[in-house]
Amino acid sequence: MASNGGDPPMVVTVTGAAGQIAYSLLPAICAGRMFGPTTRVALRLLEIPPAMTSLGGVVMELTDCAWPLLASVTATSDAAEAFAGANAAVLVGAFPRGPGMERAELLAKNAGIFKAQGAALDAGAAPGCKVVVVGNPANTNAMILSHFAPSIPKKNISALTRLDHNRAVAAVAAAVGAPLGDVGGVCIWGNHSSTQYPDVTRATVAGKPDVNVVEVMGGQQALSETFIPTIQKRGAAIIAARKMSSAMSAAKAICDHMASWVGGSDGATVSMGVAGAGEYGIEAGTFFSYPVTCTGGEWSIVEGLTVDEASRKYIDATSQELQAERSDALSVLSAAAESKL
Amino acid sequence: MLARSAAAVAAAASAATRPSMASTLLRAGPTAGAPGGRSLAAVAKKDLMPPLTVAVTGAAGQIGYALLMRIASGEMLGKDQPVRLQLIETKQGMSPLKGVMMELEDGAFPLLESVKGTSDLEEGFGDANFSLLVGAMPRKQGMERSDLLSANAAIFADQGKALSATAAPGSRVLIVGNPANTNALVAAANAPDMLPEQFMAMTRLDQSRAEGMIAGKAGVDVKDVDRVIIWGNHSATQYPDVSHARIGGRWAKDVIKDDKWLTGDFVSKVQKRGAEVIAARGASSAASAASAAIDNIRDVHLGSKKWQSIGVLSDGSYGIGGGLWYSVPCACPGLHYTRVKGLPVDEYSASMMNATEAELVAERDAVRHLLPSSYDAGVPLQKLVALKEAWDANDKARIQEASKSLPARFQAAVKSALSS
Repeated sequence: MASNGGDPPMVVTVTGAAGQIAYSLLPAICAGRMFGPTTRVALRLLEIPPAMTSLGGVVMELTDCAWPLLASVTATSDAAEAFAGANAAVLVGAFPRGPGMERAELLAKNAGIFKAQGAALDAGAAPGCKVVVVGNPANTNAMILSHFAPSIPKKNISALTRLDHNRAVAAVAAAVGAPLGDVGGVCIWGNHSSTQYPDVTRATVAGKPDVNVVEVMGGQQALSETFIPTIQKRGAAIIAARKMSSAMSAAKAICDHMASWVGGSDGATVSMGVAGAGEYGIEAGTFFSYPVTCTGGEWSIVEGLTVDEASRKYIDATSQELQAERSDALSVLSAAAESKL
Repeated sequence: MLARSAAAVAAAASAATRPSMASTLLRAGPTAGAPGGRSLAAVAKKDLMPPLTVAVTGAAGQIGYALLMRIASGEMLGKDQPVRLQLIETKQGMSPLKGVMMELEDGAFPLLESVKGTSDLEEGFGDANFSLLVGAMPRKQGMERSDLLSANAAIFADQGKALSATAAPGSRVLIVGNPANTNALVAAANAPDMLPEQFMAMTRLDQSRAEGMIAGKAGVDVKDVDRVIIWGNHSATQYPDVSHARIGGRWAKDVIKDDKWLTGDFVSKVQKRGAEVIAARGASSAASAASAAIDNIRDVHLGSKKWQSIGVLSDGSYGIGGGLWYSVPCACPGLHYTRVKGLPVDEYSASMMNATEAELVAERDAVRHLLPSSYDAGVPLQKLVALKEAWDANDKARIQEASKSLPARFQAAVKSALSS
């Protein structure tokens, strides 16, 4: 399609483009909920060959929506074509965990996918391309991707924990009876998995400085027994209720993640899975979810926060899981390098 | 059927059809509930408007799922407009609906003030300012068309009654569930305390599809395509009309220069697009249907510079028989819609428009027995014209003849006028 004069559109690559999350995400991107209501987008949709017919149907529907902001849509199963010139990439597609599948096997299967996509990003992405990895295990997949995309600065690669963050904020808002926008200071630490640590020890309610959120929510014990496990297992709860995993809320979180990153978080603390430099005792280079603020297109970890004893335990637990995933992933990668896969 | 032709209808596609008020789309600028921390750091409460209530039936279905996130994000009613969602499902649908409501919580939508789920129609439509009737009985294998019409008529009769009883005054209803036009007719006929204008049947999806195809053929951006019209029934007889369409201010027909395609492949492609998507996706077009519903309500509520095709109660314009929900082009100046009248209609268009009208008449006849006894189908224009001509000619025989086929109240009036 011809593009009108004016600024060139943002090239956005989405993988797993015929899947459930993408079906909720793509209309949100086209409606301007990721980059704002005046930024045009050019979509590059990547799928595996068996899903290309279905993807064709998705492309038909996108055309049928007559989006003013959608400059063009390309559907492909070729990673190089998908990532060429990308200004932003949302990596939704990943190998799903089958019943009885061990973590090592899951990592091995995903290593193959994220290696190929990392290489394609490395070769073709536009300078400054921002990447968010959604497909699980998100943090470790981000690490693998980064390993195979050495020309992409680590700071431009992230894992999605904004969904967990949004869930935590919503739960706090409901518990204290405040509007969502009034709740601040919540963050997610660690791995986007059931070891994540949703931290409300520093939560605040706008206009109510005397409200102690932890107290209102029943104290540390209630947090440990109820709130934290609820957030950690929310994904499974959604699957149990819907018989499908969360697509709509994931898509919203992806838009929020990118919008904060690109457009700034306006001073608010949000959560992103990023490679730190050793903050809070986490090994440098681990893709770990931290409290961050975003400005000028960059994230920065909020430093100097007090981490109480209970929090430290949670943070250490999730860090340990990530280190285990990381070492599994590294051994998969070195085995692959040896057998020249 | 009244034959329409350019000679019979005055061409006045200018001042009369221009929106009378300045209209704007969603204003550019940071959107609440989206970029940056604004999604979590509030638009200050004092800057937000009082909430509007949106009811959605079939809320746990595919289209509902695609709709709800976008309504909650502020895309439908505006970036400063908080919404209350009331989600209506059948009893069987209440369980999956719970999962959807959990996801709406997890979405942390600042504009979403509350979410309620129910299988009780009056509760679900209570104080609703906008109702999207998405849920409908799907066609099952072996089902005759008349069975489908009757089954849906029962559903939409109940919904019309409930809306009339509890929806907010002046509320707008968009019927998406098929057969949309006849479902709208049935709902409106069963809503004695509402005006027919409040009920709209959705043909916006067909319009957007047509615009996309025209843009593709012409090699332009879809936003430069305007005034593509969908006439008639949201079905295979719909007529996608480009005779008034414009591309970047030029007549689309002059840009595309392929009348054969425009009256052939293009028309059948738009008519069959739904089936094409199902064949590719293995599922029907939920995302694009949801998008059309959002666009339809947004443009009526917030106004639009472009014409919108909406299935509305015919008022005799273009010789369309009364009492039908028939898609026509509308202008949307904000808060309401007005029909675009007086467009010249060529021979080809007339035949296409007649065909889709015939189908709508047949659909209405198939459900007539399910309409309330007080239902008045309205009087076709040509019958009134015939009566008037007979009256002007002072021809008693013709007057008797003309009034024979009119409703009782007309006959009584004619009788009383003749005897005075």
